[in-house]
Amino acid sequence: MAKTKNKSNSLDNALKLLDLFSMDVSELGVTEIANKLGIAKSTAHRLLITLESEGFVMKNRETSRYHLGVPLLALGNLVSSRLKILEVGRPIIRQLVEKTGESAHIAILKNGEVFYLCKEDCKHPVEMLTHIGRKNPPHCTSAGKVIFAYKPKDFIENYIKEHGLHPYTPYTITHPEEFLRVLKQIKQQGYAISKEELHEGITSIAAPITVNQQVAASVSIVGSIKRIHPTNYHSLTKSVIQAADQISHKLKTL
Amino acid sequence: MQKDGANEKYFLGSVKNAIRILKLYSRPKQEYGITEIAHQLDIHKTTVHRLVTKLCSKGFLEQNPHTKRYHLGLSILGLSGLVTTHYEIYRVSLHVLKPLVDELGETAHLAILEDQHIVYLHKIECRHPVSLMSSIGQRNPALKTGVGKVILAYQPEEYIQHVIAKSGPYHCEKTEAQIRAELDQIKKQGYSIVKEEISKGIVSIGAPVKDYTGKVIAGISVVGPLDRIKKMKTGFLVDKIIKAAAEISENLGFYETKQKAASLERN
Repeated sequence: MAKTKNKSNSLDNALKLLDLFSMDVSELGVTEIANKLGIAKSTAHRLLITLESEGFVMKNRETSRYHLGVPLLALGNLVSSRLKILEVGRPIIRQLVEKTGESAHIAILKNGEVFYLCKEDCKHPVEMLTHIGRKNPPHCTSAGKVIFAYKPKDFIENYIKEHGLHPYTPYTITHPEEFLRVLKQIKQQGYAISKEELHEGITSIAAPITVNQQVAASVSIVGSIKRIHPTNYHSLTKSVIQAADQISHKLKTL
Repeated sequence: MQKDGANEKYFLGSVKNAIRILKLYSRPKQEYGITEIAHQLDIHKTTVHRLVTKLCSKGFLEQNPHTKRYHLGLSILGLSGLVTTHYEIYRVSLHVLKPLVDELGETAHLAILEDQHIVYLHKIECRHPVSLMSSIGQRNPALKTGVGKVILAYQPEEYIQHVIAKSGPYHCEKTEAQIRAELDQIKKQGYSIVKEEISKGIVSIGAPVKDYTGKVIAGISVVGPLDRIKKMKTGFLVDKIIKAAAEISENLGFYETKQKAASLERN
């Protein structure tokens, strides 16, 4: 970290600090933050009290560590209310959850990652694998693969060059040629299935949402391999495609 | 809670201003230009420009290519998504509150205590919502709301002391003794009813939510206009709300209610 403590540096650090929180990291201490950002403890403390003064982080009185603040929920709600795809899509994926009994998402591709814009939980007390705003690698999720399938070949090749096809499980596709072949097939059939490619024991099924004649997002359901099983792939896939088509259609007629 | 504790002189100006820009956004107005922001927050235009550029580069703001103005970006959605994940209670309460709202036809909230305030994690609106002083993520003084009072009633003595001391202007119409008597009463009966303390003509009924240790960590409330609430019997409403709160507590691993019910059945 540069020695100069100019103004844009502190905002940079504040935004990086917020980025340290993740699904697994819900609380951070001052020293931890200082170490991770490579800044002095006193600076980390000043960042925290500034963020706290606006409610972006909150101090846990018992542990003296910090977590993200609830006022962020209000801002997040403003973002979702702005996005037409969510306004149109949310009731449709809610129905999809009721129909299939699995959690459903709407996701987009952003900076080479799958970004979940909205999630509806099913009633199974499941595996907390995704949440709104969560980012996942696209090459091993059905939500990502189905968007990839409609991209030009050089887009995919660039992605592979930049990110590689990192193996997450023994079932992750790691060979570029095989990956391209799978994408071709996905495009032909109009949906993607990802069985245990990111998490063992978890399968997801996704279908594309079209905006202005381009695949811009996807609808997916995610659940245990015990429930999303080859014997019911057909009916589940049908429901997912139906939901995605419904959203595409509604967006067109808006 | 905003100002106390921390010394304002230690705040980092650019961070503070950047967050003030983000918080400027509100539902009726989704886009701002640089000049507008500078005007609203009384910050120099060049500074606003620098902050907005930085916020855009990190996805906290986005520029609308048509209007050239700025709106909140997806990074915000990412952070708020984490908040909903980290607060287990946010997740486990939704499946309880939705049916409650459908059944009662009134709006329900889930709130937690943050210092002398409560913050709403959920607001689930009914079909005929009345305008309420609540929205998700918003703070209200704990001593003024049904849900706040019911959470407070179960807190340790020092905490109650702390909140009363800090809430000065909010309870000027009541003495400390009156507040304490009210909280005692709420704890004894297990629910709160607050009439018209924040909004005229509005009643709020609150019940406590416990975590697996039995500690009251949140509260739910059902809020509606006096005449509609009166039409349903209060006792009926209170029963439903207490039951819903107990169900959320159970989802969080608190089992006393189950054990009690089981022992009642046995007897």
